Amino acid sequence: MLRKQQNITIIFLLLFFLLLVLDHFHSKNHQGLQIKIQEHGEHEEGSSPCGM
Amino acid sequence: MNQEIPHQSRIDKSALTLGIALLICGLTFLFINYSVKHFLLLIIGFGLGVSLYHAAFGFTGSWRNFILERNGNGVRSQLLAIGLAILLILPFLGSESLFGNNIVGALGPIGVSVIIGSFLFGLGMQLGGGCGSGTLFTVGGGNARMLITLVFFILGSLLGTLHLPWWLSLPSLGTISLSAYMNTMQAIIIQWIVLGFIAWMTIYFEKQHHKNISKIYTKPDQSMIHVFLQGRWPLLWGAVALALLNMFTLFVAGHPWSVTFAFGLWGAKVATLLGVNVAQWEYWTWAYPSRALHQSILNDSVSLTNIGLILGAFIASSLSGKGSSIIRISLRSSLAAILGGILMGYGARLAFGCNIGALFSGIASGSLHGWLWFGFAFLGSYFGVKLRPSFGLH
Repeated sequence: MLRKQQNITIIFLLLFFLLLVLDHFHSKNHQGLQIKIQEHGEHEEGSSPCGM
Repeated sequence: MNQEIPHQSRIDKSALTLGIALLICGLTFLFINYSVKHFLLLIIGFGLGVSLYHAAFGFTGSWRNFILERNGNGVRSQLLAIGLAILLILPFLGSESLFGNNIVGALGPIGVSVIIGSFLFGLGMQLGGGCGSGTLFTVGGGNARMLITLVFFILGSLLGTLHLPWWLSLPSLGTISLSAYMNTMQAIIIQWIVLGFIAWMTIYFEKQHHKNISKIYTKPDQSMIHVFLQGRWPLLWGAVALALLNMFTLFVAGHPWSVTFAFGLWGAKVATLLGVNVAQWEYWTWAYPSRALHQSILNDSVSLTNIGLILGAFIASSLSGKGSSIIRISLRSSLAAILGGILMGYGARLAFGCNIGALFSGIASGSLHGWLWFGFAFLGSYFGVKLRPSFGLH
């Protein structure tokens, strides 16, 4: 039996994964599946998640 | 170090089965539809989640412990993790590519935006009850209140992306990397000396208030394998694991561990879904954010480690049997979670990262903004701790 708080977490996780799947297919349909992790070549604003 | 995880003790088999099933599905999906790199990033995130949860390695609680109780073992374990990460990450940043990846450190400017942003983040983390990594692992661990913090963390991050270009127009010295002024060994040693000095100060203040100094390693009273699987890791284990996993993130993703970029991205994706033309905002026209917005979330390395982290904490929580069966979230506590989440999200955008992207990875990359972040976030935390009673938080 899952605990109450875990139930809430699980609902959140399932909704979140649903968003991920929708986003995956939406992105795939709109511009083709990108399978390359974004690369980071320069130390400038907007070029990496860390420098953001 | 304590993210206030209640303790029970039996393995929660239902939750464990569900967590493992989700992890296997996720890994299989990524392996088939994306690449080995994506697969590995989810595993690294999983390791981060397990380590954070089992070591209860939170920045928020340990800073509060030091401010209120002068108990410094949590802070010292963070300093150890940062010191190890400097050694494991900085030497690799001199090379342009690693294992076929272009690599870049977590660099940010020394400017007004970082000062204000880190202060707001520090304030928010005490009200929200968790930092960047702390919010994720407590959500994964089944803390319903932290879900409120996370939702508003995401909203705050989105707002931060709207305003960041204006904040960046304020005075700034630009990015200052120690590597530009000295060789790698000198950059490592100088930062170790500063870390050592801070550790010494925590010991000094702790001695003033307590007879004994709390340790970051005490031998577990149960078997190693039991502790490894079911938790209550010594802080030392957590520090070593996080530093190693940060290095693996650099190897696989091409950048050190980062958390909050993904929150802005998730917020932008939801806003786009609701009809807001986020793509027109200046921030989302910049190179990296623009690409991230137009691609799947699953193609974003930061999102993958975050998702893995939540799953790792969920599975670790199931193994440890920790969790509360009662939901008690008062109105004032909810307000603190909302306010804390917004402040952290907004602050992290302004400050070029959170306790992970700016503090942990920033310092490990030799970026001075990491040190600036540390000072002002701690100051913000001090005021945040003082504000907590107003929201009914102890």
